[in-house]
Amino acid sequence: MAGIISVGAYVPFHRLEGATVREVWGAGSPKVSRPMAGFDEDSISMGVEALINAGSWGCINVDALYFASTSAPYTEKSSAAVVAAAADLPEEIFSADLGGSLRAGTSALRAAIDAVTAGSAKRAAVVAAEMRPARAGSPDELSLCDGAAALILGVGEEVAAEIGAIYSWTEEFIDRWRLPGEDHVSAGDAKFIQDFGYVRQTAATVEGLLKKTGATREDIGRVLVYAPDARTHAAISQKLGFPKAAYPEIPLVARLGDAGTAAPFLVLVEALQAAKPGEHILVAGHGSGGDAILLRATDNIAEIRGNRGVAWCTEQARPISSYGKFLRSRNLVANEELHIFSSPSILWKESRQTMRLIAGKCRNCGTIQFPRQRLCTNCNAQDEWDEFKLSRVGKVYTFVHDHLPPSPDGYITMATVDMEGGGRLYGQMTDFDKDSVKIGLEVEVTFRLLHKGEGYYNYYWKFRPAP
Amino acid sequence: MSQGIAGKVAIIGVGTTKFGELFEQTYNDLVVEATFEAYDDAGVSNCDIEAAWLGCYLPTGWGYDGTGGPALAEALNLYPKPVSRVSNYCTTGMEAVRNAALAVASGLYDCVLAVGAEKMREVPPRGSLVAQHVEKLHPLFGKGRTAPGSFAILATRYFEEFGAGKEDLAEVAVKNHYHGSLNPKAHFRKEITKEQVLNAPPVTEPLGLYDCCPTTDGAAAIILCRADLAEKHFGKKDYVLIDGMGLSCANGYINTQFDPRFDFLGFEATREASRQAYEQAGVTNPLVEIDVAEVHDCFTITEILNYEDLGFVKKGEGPSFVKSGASKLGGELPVNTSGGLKSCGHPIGATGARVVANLTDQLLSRCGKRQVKGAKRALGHTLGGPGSVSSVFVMSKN
Repeated sequence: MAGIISVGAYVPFHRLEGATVREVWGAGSPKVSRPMAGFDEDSISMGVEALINAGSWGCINVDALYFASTSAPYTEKSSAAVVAAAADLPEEIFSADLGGSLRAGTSALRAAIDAVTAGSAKRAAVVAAEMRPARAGSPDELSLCDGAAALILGVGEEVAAEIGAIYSWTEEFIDRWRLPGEDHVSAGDAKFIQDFGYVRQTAATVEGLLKKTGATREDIGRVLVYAPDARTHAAISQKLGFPKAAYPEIPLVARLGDAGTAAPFLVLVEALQAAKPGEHILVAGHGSGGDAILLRATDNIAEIRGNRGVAWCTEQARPISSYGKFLRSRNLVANEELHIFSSPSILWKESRQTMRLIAGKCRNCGTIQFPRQRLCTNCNAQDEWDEFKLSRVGKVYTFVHDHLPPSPDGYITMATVDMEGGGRLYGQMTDFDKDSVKIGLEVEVTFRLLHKGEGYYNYYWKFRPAP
Repeated sequence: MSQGIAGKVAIIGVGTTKFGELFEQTYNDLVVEATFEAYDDAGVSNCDIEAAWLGCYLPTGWGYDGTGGPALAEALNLYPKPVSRVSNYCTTGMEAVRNAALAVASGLYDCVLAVGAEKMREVPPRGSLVAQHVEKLHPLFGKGRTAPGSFAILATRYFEEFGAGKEDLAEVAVKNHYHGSLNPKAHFRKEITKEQVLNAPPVTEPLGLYDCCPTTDGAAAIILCRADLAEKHFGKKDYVLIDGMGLSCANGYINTQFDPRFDFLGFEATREASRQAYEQAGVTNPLVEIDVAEVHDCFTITEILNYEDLGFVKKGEGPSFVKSGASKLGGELPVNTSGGLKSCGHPIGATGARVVANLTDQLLSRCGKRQVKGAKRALGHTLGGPGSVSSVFVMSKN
């Protein structure tokens, strides 16, 4: 039986707080603290982190990858391929980029379930990631949430949550929309889209699944629905009529915000990591109709509790120090325009080093070299090395805070880090408090957008203090 | 090593332009000014020059700069002679002199010219070296590295290891600005205080504004000849001899900060280049045998590391050396009496040639208020890249 083997989530550590926004615009609830992607993050980088959290550091053995986002960095180039490289997936995989609707996440999930069930994939990774378009000064800047979640699907004994049934229906309906190039989401009449859109459609999606499976409301331990805000979530919950205990005490959308296509995945990851064996979970995605999936936690469900998920990311949260940081990170104000050299051929031929952090280990003397050299710097052996994947973690050997290169933070911190198990890396730090950086600091690598040289996205690894 | 350079090559003339933001002068103007001052000093003309070397690090994009030999030949009307451009990061100027000296020592030429020149201020300061690092080089490896960053990262480790601090760096800045105030050709000619250094805005922590050399234009020219012809043919009673020349590439340009063997406490390149030069010159105790030195103080931390890598003092004792006044004019071994890169600035291709010119002036007692009395043996040092290449000269009065 097909099911979910593993889960992971990544919600950015940076938080844009209601109090910060209130200081600037005079409005914004002090209760709000919503995850905000940093200047070096995007849907791809967040998706990578979520997938590594679901899989592992090192080659993740899947043969299909579905990447769903309405905010993918590229409109016409695979973002899934970038995710596959950075998460160190094998090359012989089916990959797909899905988007165009907030339903793309559950669409991808359905496709993955079908593939695994049919046997066209042994294991499939499904990643939903969003960097939500928040216009400065609009209510959206506090209601939209960035984040990503990943599910790894397969069949057989190791499944932690079995897929019971899927129900889908499609109805053309305009509730919210965004055109290419627009920086904000537009919405129809609030009352109409709530009552006839989110509430009516979600009810139809859920009813459809219940009818299909013959399950009753009492059978379902957890009901997870998409809603753009807390009020709509409450209206949907009331209409659905499940017992109160089936709904999250405070829905994710109220705690963090509207994460778009990633929302159903984030709530599902959260629910699965809290589930008990035998529990039934229903998750519904929404967008011109909807998909509802019924799952049952197996005896293996405890295995996934240790993975980094929503709760773990929430523990790392830190508020950004000023509204200006939000504007800078989102490129909503003038940032210095740089013309950085890059080259598709360089990126391609060095991809196993730069995307997968695979160094060279000399067969003759064991020296680990990164960047790789043809001639071992220690023993001079020529072209005699094996691939050696660097560890995710290391210790700072030395560092500097450099105010000279342009940076949204006003300085860049470069660190030389001795990686656990061998090898040495040198690169930028991110998501850190300046005062906490010291020789001996334990750090882990994180996949980030480095720059937009030559007009495309150049990704690389940065260091972040180990949790 | 078969034979050394000692006794083979003489320096019979030097010339330098003023160093500064020379907006009124082109690259060609700088080259002509420095070279003809050197010709006058040597008592030679274009006709005597059989070959020439140009040291220029960042050519193209800024006007007349020298990408190749013809750029020098064009400025000086050296047609149709053999002229080459050389480049070796911040040792470039010294590299031009070194290649010229090697050519003379080979017996191929009797009299040659080496010019180091760099025009950095046809563009805003950030448009030159900073832009290089930010916008060029490898798209991913080391992105975020800058020139001060490459040296500050040693300061972090050095401070931790030896308990040093910004106050120690400030001593170098104050000393070199004082020396610069006595040098009419320096870029900066004002003394500064320790407080000014410590309160200056940060550039790359722990380096502040006054811990870093400025962006500068300048050129220097050296006339070299066969040592046995200096008096016989060129009529020079007083001249300078090159006793030893060392050059060492000890780290990569991209890989230095990734190399697990690098301890970030000093530079192997300087240690090896000086070892070569000392061996050729027969120097065994530099602190005692060297009377005056010019070392690469691109940043204050670098000068402190240089004292140790050049063997003046042991590893960790650099701060004490400057704090004691030993490296100040009047001290045991005055370092950077010209004001160094701190005060002269660092037109990259010119610096190494300026170092040779300034040391020649010291050995020939032409330094006026900056004179180290009785200076007979001098040491010049340059260091390039992220500390990956170094060049060291030992010179003496004939």
